Amino acid sequence: MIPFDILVAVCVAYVVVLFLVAFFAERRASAGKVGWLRSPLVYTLSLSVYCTAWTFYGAVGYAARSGLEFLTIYLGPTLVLVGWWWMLRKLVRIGKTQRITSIADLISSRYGKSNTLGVIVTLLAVVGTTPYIALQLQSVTLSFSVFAQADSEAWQPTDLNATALWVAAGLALFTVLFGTRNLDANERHHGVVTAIAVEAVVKLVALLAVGIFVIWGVAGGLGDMADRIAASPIAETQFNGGRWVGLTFLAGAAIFTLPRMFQVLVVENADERHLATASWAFPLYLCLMSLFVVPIAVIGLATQPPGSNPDLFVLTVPLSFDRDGLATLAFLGGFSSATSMVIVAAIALSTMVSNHIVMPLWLSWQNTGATVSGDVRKVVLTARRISIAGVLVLGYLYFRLTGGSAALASIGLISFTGVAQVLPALIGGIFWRGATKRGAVAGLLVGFFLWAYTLFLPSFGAGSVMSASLLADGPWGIGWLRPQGLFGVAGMDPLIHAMFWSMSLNSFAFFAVSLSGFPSPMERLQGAQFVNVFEHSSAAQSWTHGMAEAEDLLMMSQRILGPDKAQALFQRAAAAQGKVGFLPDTTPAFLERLERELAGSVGAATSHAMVGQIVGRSSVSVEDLMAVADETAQMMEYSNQLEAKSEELSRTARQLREANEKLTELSIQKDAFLSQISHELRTPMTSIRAFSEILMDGGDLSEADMTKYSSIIHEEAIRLTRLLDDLLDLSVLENGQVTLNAQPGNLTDLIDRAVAATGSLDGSGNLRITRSRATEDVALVTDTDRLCQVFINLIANAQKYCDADAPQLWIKVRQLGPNVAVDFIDNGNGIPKRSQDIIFEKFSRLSDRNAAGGAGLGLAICREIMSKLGGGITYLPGQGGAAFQVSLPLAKAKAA
Amino acid sequence: MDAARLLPILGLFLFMMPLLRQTGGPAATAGIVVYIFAVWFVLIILAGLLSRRLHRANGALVEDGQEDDG
Repeated sequence: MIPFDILVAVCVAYVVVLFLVAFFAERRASAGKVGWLRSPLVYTLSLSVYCTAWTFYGAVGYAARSGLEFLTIYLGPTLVLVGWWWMLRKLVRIGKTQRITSIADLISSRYGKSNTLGVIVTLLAVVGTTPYIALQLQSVTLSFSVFAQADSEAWQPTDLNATALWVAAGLALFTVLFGTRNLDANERHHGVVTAIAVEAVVKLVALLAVGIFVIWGVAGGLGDMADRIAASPIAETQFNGGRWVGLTFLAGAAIFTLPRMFQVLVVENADERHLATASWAFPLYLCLMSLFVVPIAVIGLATQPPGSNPDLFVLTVPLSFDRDGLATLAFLGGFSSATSMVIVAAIALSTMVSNHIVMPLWLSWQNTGATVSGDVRKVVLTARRISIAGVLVLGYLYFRLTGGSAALASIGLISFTGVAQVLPALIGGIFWRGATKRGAVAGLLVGFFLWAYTLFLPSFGAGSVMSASLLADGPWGIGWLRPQGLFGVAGMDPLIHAMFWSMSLNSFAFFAVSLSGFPSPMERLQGAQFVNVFEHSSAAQSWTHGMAEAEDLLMMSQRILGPDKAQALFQRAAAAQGKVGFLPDTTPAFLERLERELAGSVGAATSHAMVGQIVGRSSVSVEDLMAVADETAQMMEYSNQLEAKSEELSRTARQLREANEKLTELSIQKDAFLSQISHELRTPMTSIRAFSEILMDGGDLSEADMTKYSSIIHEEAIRLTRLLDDLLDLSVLENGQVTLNAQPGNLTDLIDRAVAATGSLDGSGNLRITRSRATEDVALVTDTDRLCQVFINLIANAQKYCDADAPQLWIKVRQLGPNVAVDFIDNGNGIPKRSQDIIFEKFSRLSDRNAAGGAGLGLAICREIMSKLGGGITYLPGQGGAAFQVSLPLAKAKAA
Repeated sequence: MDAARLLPILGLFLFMMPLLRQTGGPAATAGIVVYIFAVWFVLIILAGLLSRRLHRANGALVEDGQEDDG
C-alpha cells in the first residue's frame, strides 16, 4: 500500500510540473515561437476538458449501475464533431469575425448587443456550473480518501473539507496566474491550453493503463473478458430508449453550450482548419476513453466487496491487486480531469461575469462616462481575477453545503440540461434571421425557470428546497403542476421529463415570441452577419459619421488595449485613410473596427456602450438596411464598386483638402515669419547700432557703463549669430549636405546629457523631469550629437511652453516593434488639434509669447535630423499634455 | 461537402439502431458494445478521410476567412 504522504507528494510534484509546463508555454508564446503550441493536436487535446472527473471516475460507476447508457455521453459529442461542417465551422467563424469572448457574448452580440441577454446567459452558466465545480472537488477528495482509508492513520471528515479547500485554492492560483495574463479574452491562453493538453494525455494514459491491466492482468485476455461481460449484471440492464436518445442529444448540445467547452472550442481556436483535424481526432479520443469502461466496471463488480462505491473502481481495482504505481497513475488521471475542468470553467465564467456584469455596473457608476482617466485594463483584470476566486469559492461552498452527498453524483447531467437551455437561442441565432431578442429572452427565461423547477431544485432532495408535499402533490395541491410530472405526464424519467418540457417550451417561447415581433435594426444587422457569416465576413456599419472625436476615442482605447496597441491601431487606420499621425477620421468603418477590437477585451455589449458614450448615438442608416436586405449578387457587387469608388474619391478629396489647408496655413505662417524675422534681425541690429553710437560719441562714459554697453552689443551679436546658425543648420539638413557622424552610445547617457544641457538637472529650471532609467538602457549606433540636439530641443520646449503650475515632464522609453521610441510628455495644455499638423514646419511658432524667444525653427530642425537618422518624430495626441515621440529604428540600435 | 453534412446523420442512424431491438439478452449486450465501437471507428475513419479532402479542396477558402481577424 502506498503511504498517504507519498501520494500527497506525488500530487504536489504533478502540480509543480503543470505550473512549469504552463510557464514555459507562456514563455515560448511571448517569445513569438508559437509553433506546436497552436497545432491541431494541442487544440484537439484541449477539447478533452469535456472529460471531467465525472467522466473519468463516473463513467465506470455509471456503467456498473445502468449498463451501456454511459456511452451516450460520448456519442453525442462524436456526432456533433463529425458534423462540424453544419454547426461548429459556423460557430468558429462567427467567433473569429465578431471577436466573441464567451457564449454569453455570442448570444448578446447576435441579438443586437443586448446586455440583458448577456446577464441571463451568464447567470444560467454560473448556476449550472457551480455544482459541477463542487462535483470535481468532491471527486478529488473522495479519491484522496480511498488512499487515506487504506493508510493506517484515521481520516477525519474535517480533513476532507481541508483537502477540498486546498485544491480549490491551488486551482484559483493557477487560473489567476495563467488565465488572466492578457486582457484580450480572444487571445490564446497558451499556458493554460498547453497544461490542459498535457492533462488530457495523462488521463487517457491512466485510463488505458487500468483498462489493459484489467483485461490482460485480471481477466485472461479478450475472450475471457467477453465471457465475463456476458455473465456480469451489466449485461442484464435493459435499454431505455428515451434516455438513450435524450442523453445523446444532451451530450451533443453540451459540447458547445457548456461554458468551458465553448471556451476551448471557439474562443481558444487559433485556426479554423484545426477543427477539421479535431472532427476525427476528438471522437477518437472519446472512443479510447470509453473503450475499457465496461471491462473495468465488470471486473470491479466481480472483485470488489458488495456495497463498495462503483464510482471509484478505477482506483480500488488496482489497489486491491496491490498495483500501487497503477493506482497512483489512475489517481493522477482523475486529479487532472478535475483540475483541467475547473481551470477552464473558471476562466470562461470569469470572462462572462466581468464582461457582462461587472463592467456594465462599473461603467454606470462612473458618471463621467468612458472618457475618465485611469486604466480600465486593471479594473477588468481585477474583476476577472476576483470572479475566478468567486467562482471557486461558490463551488467550494456548494460542496460544503451539500456535504459531498450523493446528490452531487447526478449533477453532471443536471448541469448539461441547464446549459442546453441556450440551444434554441444559439441555433436560432445563427441559422434564422427572424430570431429576435425578445424571443431569445423569453425562451431562455422559460427554459431556465422550468429547468430549475423540474430538475435543479428537486435534485437537492425532498424537504430541502422543495417540500415533500410540493414534490408529491404540486404547489397548492394542483396535481398537474407537480415538478416531476408537469401537465399530468407522470412516470417519466425525471431527467428526460425535465429536458423534454424545458427544451420544448423554451423553443416554443423562442419561436412564438420571435414570430410575433419584429427585430430592431441593430438586431437585423447582427443577425444578417451571423447567419450569412460565410457570405459577407466584413461588418455592416452602424455608426453615423463624424460625431466622435478621434482624440477621445484614442484616450479610451489606450486605457483598454494599452498605449502601444491602441496607438498602433489608430496609426494603421489613419494610414489606411491616407493620413499621417495618430488621428484617423472617425468614419463608420473605423468605429466598427475599433468597437470590434475592444469587444475582444470587454465583450460586444460593453464595447458598444463605451464607444456609444463617446460617439453619442449609434444609428442604422437606410443604406445599411438595404445592403442587408438586398441579397442579389449584382446589387451587392454594384454597390460595392460604387462604395469603393466613392471611398477612393473621398480619400483623394480629403488628401487634397488637407494639403490645401496646410499650404494656406503655411503661407500665412511664412508671411508672419517674414515680418517676424525682420523684427528678430532688426531688434538686435537696432540696439547694436544705438549702443555703438553711444560708445563712439561719448568720452565721458564711466568704465562700468562702457563694459555694460559693449557686453550688450556682444550679447545681441550672439543672438543674431544663433539665429543665422539655426537657419543655416536647417538649410544644410534640408539639402542633404550633412554628413552624419555615427558612433556607439547609450540612450541613458544621451538623455543625461540633454537634461544637463538644459539646466533642468540642478533644479534651476522649475521643470520636474520623471524618467525610468531601467528602460533607458538601450545601446545605439547613431549620430549621438545630433540625437542629443533633438532631446535638448524637446526638453527646452517643455521648459518654455509648458503652462502648468507645477510643470512636469515624463520621458518614457519603449520598444515599438522594430523601433525604439522615446516619448516626451508634459502636463501642460498640449497643442491644439488645429496646430498639430504644422508644428514641425519651418517658421511655425504657435504663441507670441516673448519668453520663448526662438524663431520657430527648433522642431523643424528636429524633424530633419530624425529623418536623416532613419527615424522620425511625431506629435502624440491624447496624452494629457504636449507629447512628442522620437523613434529610432532598433536595427540600428542593436548594431552595437 | 455534402458528404460532410450527411455523415453525422448516418452516425445518428447507426447509433440509434440498438433501440430497435425489443428484447435484450446477456449476449445481446456484449454484441451491442462491439457494434457501437465498430460504428464509432468507422465514423472516425470516414471523418478523417473527409476532413483531409475538405482541407485540400477548401484550403484557399479557409485562408480567406483568416484575414479578417488581424
